[in-house]
Amino acid sequence: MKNRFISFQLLSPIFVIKRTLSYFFLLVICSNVLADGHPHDSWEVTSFGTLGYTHTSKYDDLVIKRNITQRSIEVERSGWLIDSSLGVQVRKELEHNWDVVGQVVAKEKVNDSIEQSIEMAFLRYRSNDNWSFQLGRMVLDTFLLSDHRDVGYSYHTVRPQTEFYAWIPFSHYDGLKTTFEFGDFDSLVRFEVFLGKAKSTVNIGYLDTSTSYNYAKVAPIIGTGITWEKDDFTLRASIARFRFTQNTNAIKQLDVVVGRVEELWPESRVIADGYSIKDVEITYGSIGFKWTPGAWVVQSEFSDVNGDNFGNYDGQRLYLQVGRRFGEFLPYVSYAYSWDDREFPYDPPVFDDGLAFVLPGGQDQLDAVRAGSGAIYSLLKDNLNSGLMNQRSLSLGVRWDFASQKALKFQCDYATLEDGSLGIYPTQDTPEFGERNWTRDSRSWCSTTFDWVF
Amino acid sequence: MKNIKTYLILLLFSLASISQVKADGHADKIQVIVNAQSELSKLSRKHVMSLFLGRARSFPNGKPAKAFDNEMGSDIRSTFFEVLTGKSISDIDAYWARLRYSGRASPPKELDSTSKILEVVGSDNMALAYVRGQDEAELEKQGILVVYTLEAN
Repeated sequence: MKNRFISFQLLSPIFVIKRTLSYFFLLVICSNVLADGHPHDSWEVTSFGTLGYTHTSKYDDLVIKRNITQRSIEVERSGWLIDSSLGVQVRKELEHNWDVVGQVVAKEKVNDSIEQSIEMAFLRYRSNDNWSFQLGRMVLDTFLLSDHRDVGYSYHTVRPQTEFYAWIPFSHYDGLKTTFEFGDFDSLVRFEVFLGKAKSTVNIGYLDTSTSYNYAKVAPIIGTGITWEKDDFTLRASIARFRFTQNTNAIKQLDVVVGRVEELWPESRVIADGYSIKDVEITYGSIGFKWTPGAWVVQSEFSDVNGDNFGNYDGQRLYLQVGRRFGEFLPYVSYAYSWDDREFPYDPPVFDDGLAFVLPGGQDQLDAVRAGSGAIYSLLKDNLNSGLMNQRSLSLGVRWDFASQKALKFQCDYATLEDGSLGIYPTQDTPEFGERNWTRDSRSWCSTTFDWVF
Repeated sequence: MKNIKTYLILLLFSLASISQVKADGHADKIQVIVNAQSELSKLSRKHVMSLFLGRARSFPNGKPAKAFDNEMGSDIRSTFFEVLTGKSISDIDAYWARLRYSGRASPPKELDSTSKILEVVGSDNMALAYVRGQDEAELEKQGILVVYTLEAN
C-alpha cells in the first residue's frame, strides 16, 4: 500500500496530531471559560452509524462509489466500505447562550486522518432567537442533505443521490457562519452566510498512484442560503463560490509531460493551462424542496455548477424522490440526472513532413514526436472525462424502521453512463498513461444498510 | 331484600364502570404542561408543534421555553408525536437526527419518569413537557398548569 502521506505534502503526522489536539483543546478551554464554573448541563454525547454492503466488484469495467473522496480500489475490494461509517458527536450548552459542538466520523476516504475525520468543532453564540454566530469547523450545508449526509438514519435512501452529491469534494470547512432566522409558529425563514476554507483529498479515477490521489484546497469558500419552512414543506436555495489555491498532483504531472513536447506542439501548453485549477473559481447554486404531506415524502433538488476553466466539474444536476410510508415501511423511487455537454475543443496535433529535415534525428525523430504527441493528446483529452458527469439513474428501495432509532434499507440502482462519463464511477480499464475507454452503457447494483442513532 | 341486593350490586358495578371510564379518559389524554409562573394559560397545536420540534425557542408571550421529552421508545412519546404531527415516530426521530447531527439543534432533553417531569416543570418556569392522565387539580397544587390536551385515541 502506497504511503499516503507522500500525497499530503505538508501534512506530516506530527502536524496532524497537533492540529487535531488544538481543536479539542479549544473546545475544552471555551467550555471551561464560558461555563462560569456552573455548567447548565453535562456533555451530551451521542453517536450514529451505518453498516452497509454493496457488491462493488460486480463488474470488471466499472466501480460504484458513494463519492469522489473514497478510494476506488479499496471500495471495489470491499463492498462493506462504500456506505459504512461511525460518528460520535459531543455537545455542551454553556452559560450566556453559548454552546460547543464536536463531531468525528470514521468512514472510507482517501485521507482518513483524525484531523480530516473531524466534521464539526465549533463554538456558537446565540444573541437572541434570531441571530446566531458560529466559529470553527462546520459541515458544508449548501444542499438539502449536505450537512447530514453521513447520518443514514436521517434520510430514507441508502445514500444521498449520487449524481447530485458524489462530486462534492468537501464535507466541511473551517471558518465562520452567521444565521438569521425569523418567523412565527406558522412558518420559519432562515438566512445563512458563511466564509472559510476547505481541503480534501479525492480519488478521481481508478488507480491509487500519486497522480490519482489529489489534494484539493480552496480558500476562500463563501456562500449564502435561504430556507423557508412551513408545515410539511421546506424550500431551500443556496449559492457558493470557492477558489482553488493550488494545482493537484495530476495537473502538475500533466505540466511535466507537456513540457516535453510543447516546443514542437505549442498548443499542448494551452491545453494543459486550461486544466490548471490554481486560482480557478467554481460557483455552484442549487434549489430544492422537501414536502411530506401525510405519509408521503417528495424531495427534489436542482443544481448548476460553473467553473472558470473547461477541465473542472460543470453542468446541471437534478433528482426527484417520491416515497410513501406504510406503517414501518417506506418504499421509494428516485430518478436522477446529471448532464454536462462539454466537449474537448482541440484537434490532434499535426506535424508537417518537412519537419524531418529540421529535426536532428530526421524521420525517426519525427515519427517518435508524432507517436509521443499522439499519446499526450489522448491523455489530455481523457483528462476531461475525469470531470464529466453525464449519467442518469433510477433507484427503487425501501426503508424499514423495525425498532426505535434503527432502520434497515434495501435499494437497487440502475445507472446509465454516457460516453466518457467517468467523473464519479471509475473504470478498471485505466492505463497509467493513456486514454480510458467508456462508451455509453448501463449498470445496476443493489445495496443494503443498517442505520442507527443513539 | 333480593331486589335491594341486586340494586346494590348494580350500583357498585355502575360506580366502578364510571370511575374506570374516568380513569381511562384521563389515560387517553396527553397533557402539555408548563410551570404556573410561566404566565401562560393555553397553547395551540401549532405552538406545541413548533416548541417540541425545535422551530421555536420561546413561548408565544416571548418568554424563553425549554422543552423536555419522555424517554425514547416510550409509548407516551410515540403517541404524543404521532397524534401531534400526524407522522410516524420514526419520521420524527429521523427529523431530530437531521437537526442534531447537522449541528443545528438538539432534541428536548429526556426525562425518565413522570415524577421527574413534574418535579422539573414544577420548579422551572421555562419548562414545557407532556404527561398522561394526571389530575389537573393535583397538578395545580404542584404549581403546574395544563396548557394543551391531546386526545390520544
